[in-house]
Parts: sequence; C-alpha cells; structure tokens
Amino acid sequence: MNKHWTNDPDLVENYVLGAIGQDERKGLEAHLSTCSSCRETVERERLLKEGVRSYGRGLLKERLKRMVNQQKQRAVPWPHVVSIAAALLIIVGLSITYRWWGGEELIVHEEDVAAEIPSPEHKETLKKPGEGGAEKPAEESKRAAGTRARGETTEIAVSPSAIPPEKDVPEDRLDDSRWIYGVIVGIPLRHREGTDAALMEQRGEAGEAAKQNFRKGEKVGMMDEQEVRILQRPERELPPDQRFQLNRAMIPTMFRQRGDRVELTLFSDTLGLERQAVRVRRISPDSLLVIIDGSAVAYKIPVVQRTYR
Amino acid sequence: MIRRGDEQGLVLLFEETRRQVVGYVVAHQGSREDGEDMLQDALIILWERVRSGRYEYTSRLATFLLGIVKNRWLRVLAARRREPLAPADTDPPDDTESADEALIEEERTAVVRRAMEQMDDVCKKVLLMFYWEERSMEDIAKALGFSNAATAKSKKYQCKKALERLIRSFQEREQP
Repeated sequence: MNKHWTNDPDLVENYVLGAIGQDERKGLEAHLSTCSSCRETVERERLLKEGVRSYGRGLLKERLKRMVNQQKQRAVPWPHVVSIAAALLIIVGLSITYRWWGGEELIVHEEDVAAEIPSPEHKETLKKPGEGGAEKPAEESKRAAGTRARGETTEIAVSPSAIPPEKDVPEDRLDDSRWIYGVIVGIPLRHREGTDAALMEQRGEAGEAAKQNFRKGEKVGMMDEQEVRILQRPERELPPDQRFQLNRAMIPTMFRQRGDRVELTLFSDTLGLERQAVRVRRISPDSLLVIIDGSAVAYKIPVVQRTYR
Repeated sequence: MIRRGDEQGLVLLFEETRRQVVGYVVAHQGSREDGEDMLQDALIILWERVRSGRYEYTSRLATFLLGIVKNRWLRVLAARRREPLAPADTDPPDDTESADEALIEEERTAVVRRAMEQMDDVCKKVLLMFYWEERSMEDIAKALGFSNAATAKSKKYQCKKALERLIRSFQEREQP
C-alpha cells in the first residue's frame, strides 16, 4: 500500500462505491482516522458519486413524469369506455341477430317503410291503413319526395316548418312511447343509395317472397305497413334522466307509436336533420337505419303486440 | 422489467400503486401532487435497488413502495411542523436519513448536478453508468461502443477530471 492509499484513484472509487471487502475496508478506515488530507480525498469522491447519482435520479424522475403524463393522456375516461363498449355491444348484437353485414336478410322496399315527414296540413289527413282516404297521404308523399318508383331510395327533405311542436300532438293519440338509443354506425355498402335494385335482382324469387311475407304481416314487426316519422329536438330538451346517454356514439331517441305511425324524435344538436336529406332504411323486421347525409343511426325498434291485416 | 432496465416497468408500477399510495398521502394532509411526487421518488429508490442487486424480494412491491412513501411523508410532515418525528407504522425501508440530512445533501450535491449539466453527452453517460448504475468498465465499453474496457476507463478518467474542474470553477465563483 502507498503511504496514503487515497493516492490510488481506483481504490478510492471502490471504497466509496462499497466495492471492497470488510477486512480491507477496516484497514483503510484506520488510516483515514489519522490522515485528514485522505479524508478530504474520500469526501470529494463521495460528493462526486452522490452528485452524479442525484443528477441521474433527477433525469429518471423527469422521464418518469413524462411517461406517466403520456399514459394519463392516452387513457380514455371510464364513462367513455363504458358507452363505447355498450355501443359496440349493440352493434355486434344487431349485426349477429339480423346479419347486417352478410348472409341473408330481409330487404324491404322503401315503400314498405314509407318514411315520411308529413307537413302540418298533411298530418291532418293521415289515416290508418284500411280507412278511407289512406291513399291521399301516399300521393302527397310522392309529391313531397318527387315522383318515386318502386326500388328507388326515398329521400326526405325535412324542413324546420315540417316539424310540428310537441304540443300539437294530442296526448290521447299517444299509444306507446319509450326511450330507445340510436347507435351511430357507418353505412354498409349494400345500404347505400342505388344498390337496392341490384340486390333485389340477385335475390330473385327468394327476395320477392320475403318481401311478400313481410307485406302480409307474417313477419311480425311493428314497422309493418307503417309510416316512420323522424323528428329532431335539441339536447337541452332531454329530460334529466336521459342526459347521461348523451355521448358521441348514441343518440337518445323518443320512440312513439301514434295510431298507425311510428315517430322517432332524435335528441341531438349535431345531426342537422333540417339541413340534410334523411332516408330511412328498414334492415330487419324490427330494426332500421336512419341515414343522414354520410352517417347512419341504427335502431332496434321495440316490438309491440299488434294485429296486422 | 426493471432489472432489464425497462423504465416502462416503473410506469406500470406507478399505475398499479397510485391509488393506494396517493390515497395515503391525501389522507395525511398531503395533496394528490404530493402523493404522486412521493411515489415517483419511491419508484426511483426501487429502481436503484433492483438495478444494483440490493433489492430483496421479501415483500410485495406495493408494500415496499408504500413503506418508503410513509416514512418519507412522515418526515416531510415533521419538517413542516417542526415537530419530533413520529414513527411509521411499517418497518422503514433502508433510507433512514433525516429530512435535514437530505436537505444538506441536496445542497451539497447541487454543484455537482450543475456541473453535470455542462458535460457533453458521452461524459454524462460514462459517469452515470459508473457512479449511478455501478456498471463495470466492460459493460460501459460495450454499451457506449468503446473498443475495450481500458478505453472506457481512460474516457471515464477524462470525464471525471473535466467534472472536477467545473465543480471547482463553480465553487470559486460562489466564494466571496
């Protein structure tokens, strides 16, 4: 050993880093107790070690904070997760049940759904099927939508004036009303405009038979031979117990069966039904798509026990 | 993950233990930020111990972290109130320096941290690997692409001397 072991920088480093054995350490410490310059050398080395470690901890802490913040930003708020999961569940459920995206399905001509927004004067003339004057609204509907042949897509221009205030509807006509929730979905190709005629051709007799069955009411579904009326209301008019449903994927909707009509009131500030063309597509006996410009809202319509002709 | 040097492991542990640890601090006069800060410090202690092989797997990681946070937070509270230190209700992990000692150490090492800021990137890495991670010269040479351990050692010597010069210059400027 040198006269002062602290003249060996490797030994000083190992001592400070604790990389020497107990016995050797005791010997070095015995010397330190008698050599003040050696103690200073060791203290300088210790300061260096602690300073570098402190610097390293600081850097690691900064990185850790940054990573934690990134993680927090990536995390989706829990209520969103629940609502998205619920929306996906409904979409998957409907698609499995009614084979939206493949396999056979009941494609119904637009006339069967008879989606319309009647004007106020037109509303007065609405009759139940089988009653006198039932043809009149149908003729007016044709005028409203332009001349329409079977197989064509129905486009309904909804103007604000066509939406009567709620108070105009007599309560005694309210047969059934309940909340349903529309799921905003993409539009599958087969539901896009212009594909129906080709699809019906492909389906041939089977498709025609399915259509006939539907018309005869053999497929029990509440939309059978009924008109669909689409209304839009601002979200602020939602009752408090329904506001929790407001999110990007679902549209709280009041379903009403009024006489022979079905009325869907969509509570949304963003759809812009008064500005956009609205189409209604029936995609199974009890589910339909409300197509607004580029997006679609899917509904499972509650089945109501009814007698069909 | 931590043993492999994967810092993402710290984030996972942070997420797993945050509720418990932050809950403790908030329940004892701290804020959520205090709690998260304490947990980050505890995770760094864990990191150092695991990386240096000094961590003994005798308890759950969450228990270990909570133990550190409890001890450190009680010290913080005692320092704030200037009251005698209350004993923690768990066995303190081996970081029993007092708040005052920690403060003195923080001030003492501040000059080294400032000097480290001025060092070039290679020197920072060499010194951090040597003093903080306690890695061998062979490891350092391999990690930083030096031809062999002797070259790494020579680089470490140069960096250390540069750091000492900087520290001296800071100390001289600070002296009246």
